Amino acid sequence: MLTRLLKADLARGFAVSLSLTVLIALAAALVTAGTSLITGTVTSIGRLSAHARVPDLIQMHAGQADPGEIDTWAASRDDIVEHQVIKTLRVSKQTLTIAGTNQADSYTEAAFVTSPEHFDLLLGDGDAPVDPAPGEVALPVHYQAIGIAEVGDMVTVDTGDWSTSLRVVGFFRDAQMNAQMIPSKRLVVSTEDFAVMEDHLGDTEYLVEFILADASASDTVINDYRAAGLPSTGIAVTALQIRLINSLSTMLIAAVAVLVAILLVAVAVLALRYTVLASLEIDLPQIAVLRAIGAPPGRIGRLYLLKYLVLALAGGIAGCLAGYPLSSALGAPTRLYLGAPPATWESIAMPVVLTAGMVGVTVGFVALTLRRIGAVSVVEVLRRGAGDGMQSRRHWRLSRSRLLPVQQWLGLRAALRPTNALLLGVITLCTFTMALPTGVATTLDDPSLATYLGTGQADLRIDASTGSQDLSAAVSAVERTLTADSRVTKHTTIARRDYQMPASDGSWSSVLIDIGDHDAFPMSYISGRGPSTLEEISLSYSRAEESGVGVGDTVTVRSPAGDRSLKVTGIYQDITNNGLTAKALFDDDAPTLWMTIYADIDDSYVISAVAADLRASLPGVQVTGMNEYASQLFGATAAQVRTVAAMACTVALALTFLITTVFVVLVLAREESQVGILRALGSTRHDIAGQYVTRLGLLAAAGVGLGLLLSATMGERAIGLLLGTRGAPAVQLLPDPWLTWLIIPTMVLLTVAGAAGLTMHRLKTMTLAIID
Amino acid sequence: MTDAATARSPHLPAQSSPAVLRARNLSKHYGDARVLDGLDLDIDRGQFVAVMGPSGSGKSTFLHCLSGMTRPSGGSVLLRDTDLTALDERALAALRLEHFGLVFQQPHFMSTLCLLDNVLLPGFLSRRRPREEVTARGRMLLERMGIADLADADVTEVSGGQLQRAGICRALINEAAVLFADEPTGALNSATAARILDVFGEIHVRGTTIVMVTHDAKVALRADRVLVLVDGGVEEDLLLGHYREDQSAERLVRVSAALNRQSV
Repeated sequence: MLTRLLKADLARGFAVSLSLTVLIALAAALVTAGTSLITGTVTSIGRLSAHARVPDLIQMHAGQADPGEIDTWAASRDDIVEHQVIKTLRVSKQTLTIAGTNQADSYTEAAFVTSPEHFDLLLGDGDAPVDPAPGEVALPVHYQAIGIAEVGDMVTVDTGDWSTSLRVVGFFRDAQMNAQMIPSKRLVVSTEDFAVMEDHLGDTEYLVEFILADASASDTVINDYRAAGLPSTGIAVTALQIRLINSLSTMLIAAVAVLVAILLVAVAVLALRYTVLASLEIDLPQIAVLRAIGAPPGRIGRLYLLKYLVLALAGGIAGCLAGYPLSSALGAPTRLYLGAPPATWESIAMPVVLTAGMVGVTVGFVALTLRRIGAVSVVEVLRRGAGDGMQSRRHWRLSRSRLLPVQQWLGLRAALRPTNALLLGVITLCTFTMALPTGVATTLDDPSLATYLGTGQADLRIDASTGSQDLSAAVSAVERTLTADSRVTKHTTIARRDYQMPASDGSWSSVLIDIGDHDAFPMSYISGRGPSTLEEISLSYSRAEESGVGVGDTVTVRSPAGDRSLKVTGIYQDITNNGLTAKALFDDDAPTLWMTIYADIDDSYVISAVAADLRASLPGVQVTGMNEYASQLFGATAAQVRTVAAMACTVALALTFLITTVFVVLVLAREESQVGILRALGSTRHDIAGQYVTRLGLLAAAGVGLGLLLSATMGERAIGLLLGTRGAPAVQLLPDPWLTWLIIPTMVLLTVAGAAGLTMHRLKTMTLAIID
Repeated sequence: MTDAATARSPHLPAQSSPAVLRARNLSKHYGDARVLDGLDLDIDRGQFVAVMGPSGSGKSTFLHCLSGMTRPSGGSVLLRDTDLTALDERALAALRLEHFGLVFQQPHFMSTLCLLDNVLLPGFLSRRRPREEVTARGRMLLERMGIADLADADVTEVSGGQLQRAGICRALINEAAVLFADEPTGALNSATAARILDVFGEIHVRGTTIVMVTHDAKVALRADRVLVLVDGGVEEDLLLGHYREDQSAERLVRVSAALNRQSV
């Protein structure tokens, strides 16, 4: 009996049942895929870190170093379990060619190493450390992932007076520099080839690596290390930072999948509630009759619950099954970069358990809604009939309308009813879901992004770093060349040095200070201004937060020469170098990490030509267009965000379609008698369709408008909060106007129109039989 | 002419009669069930016709076919020279809007509109006259029906009789040539029903053609002409002439006799 009733009910509302099932399936697929991705990424990172034995602390050092000194210092400490000093040979981009492609324009900075033996292992196939023979080279999987090289390709280094060619024999996972967004990449060669290269590639950098007894004590160790005057011209990185950066890209997609899934579950619950209430209203006479003949409300409720349980289970199972291939597709880069996650019972059971929980929550909400059956007044329903439960609105009188056609007036008034909140809410959310990630993606592609990089807007940046070359000579050469070039309108040189500054808790930590003329390429400040005297300093947002100071306060800067008190004149946004930077004018003898020369070119069309000329005439320095610099720095992130934006758009449009379908079908079922009356009075189906087009059009337009408004206000604030932790709290989204204001609204409106067009066919099958 | 003789006469007036509605060989069937079966009938302009018959005799179907709410399976329905069966949906809707008024047994109203707006709805839909004029006419009709004070009331706030009177106002807002009413007093108590019938009488006096389905002989005796349908055909066609209250008893006897003959 129950099965028969259920079948009849499902057949009657097929479109609604199908839409709800698809909605639940979509949510379940995203829950499954998101959970699976997160557990997969976490276990993969854990596994890779364990196999590769990632160091707890790494101090970079450019230039020459005496490993013996470090050995002695490390041996004297109980908190250092193991240590090693890895020598790397940096190769300038112009001299490196991989598989026939010169790497001059590449974002990645390659350095040759030999395979580490004790820890920080570079793992090839079967998790064995790579060990190329003479004449061979092993590359990080990144080169394979972006399709630059394959096994058998040749890697050539040609400095002009010396060259060597090595055959690619395999790829490895570098737990330390794996992530796409880390520009440094290690290329592994044999000890023999490395020895030859040392004679010709003089630009060395050391990685001083430690495994600590207590990984959380890395701050103390690094401060003591530096205090001991050991080689430390570069930055220090901890294992935690390595794990974070490794997980960031995959986790970003997984987190968005889970967030979208939560959004879908919320919408599914709302849609189900709406459907259940609408069905109850339509079925009210039957429910009243069942109640009148003595059927207990609980049993009637179970009858309805069974239907939604069947839908939720069907959707849940279908979604769960679809979720695994989806997670497999989304997780392909993770597997490549981090290795296939081991199959554990958590990785299999967690997605299933969470999806089952999601189905349970959905059905639970239906059960709550169904408790209303008990509140149905039998006598009242049987006496007055079901009706459509709608009341007139006092302030809206057709008799006062003078111009608007009747159907449009009816549509407008219906659009303002609270029962439309479901559709309005969904369209608003979907537009928001589409506009925000799209806005972030276009922002990352926008040249004015330099605002958040802690620099003024210049056309070119030329980086010269310490190493074997004479830094001041290299910079002088650059300055001479720029002065002589008539296309260069102005240029300035900024030195970057590492100092110590106290945090708000009193401990000292590293700060990178830019020293030079900051007025040449003025930048925008969140508050205050740049330094104008030797006693002034401006701080990045994160640095100011960490030190707990604001404009007008005084901070102490410590260098080997002594402490210096400086007045804070301004706060700016910077997301580079963990956001911990500063700008000042004072000059002392502290070692320079690297120097950057900024330059403006008179004609923006010749920037790349000037850059090419400078590269040719100034080997050993890096010349980058600022636009290119920003896009390369964010290239990997921007690609991730683009994937997320595409995913969000697809899901949002599918959701808009489904909910519009459910909404229109239910509204037409609910308003069948009203449609019948209008037709009996002489309105054509076409006229009545006009009423619904007006109503849906207004709702869709309002939803799109609200969604865009939310994205521009709350969305920007949310991104600001997120980027605030990275150093740019006052981030402004720079959406592409065509995309945000035209293409996204058009896509949403077309989707609503498509769904409405398909479902409004039902108007054709409605007869006047209702008016008997 | 005896009642029996009248009943057996053809239902077509002489050629010169000013028929406003004509049905020719009208039939309607649902699957194998024949509800109307080759029915011929002329209704004169200004005539008040009551359609009676037992349950399932095809009264309502006949009314729906005449008013263009249902398409017949065969035959034709002519409003003056216009064949309703040849019209498409749009033209048929326009015809219902401009020329016909409909009063239903159950008060079918737009629940989201107040009483006055429900009355004005067909007037605004037709766009034949300025809205101010339609509104003034709507208020006048409500006034005439004695429910002017309920103009702004919700349809859920008024009684069945008041709703039925509002329904008649709505049917008259476009000055319909023909008013169709399906059991307009069926859901009302006798006092309210009597008031509604007085209203129909007034409308008829002003020259509107009325076709009314009823199962109540006391209602039917108000009409000029009473048709008794049995199994989809007209079995009795009584011409009672204009209603006069002092002849009520005599008219009731004639209608009851016709119904008795058909075992209704």
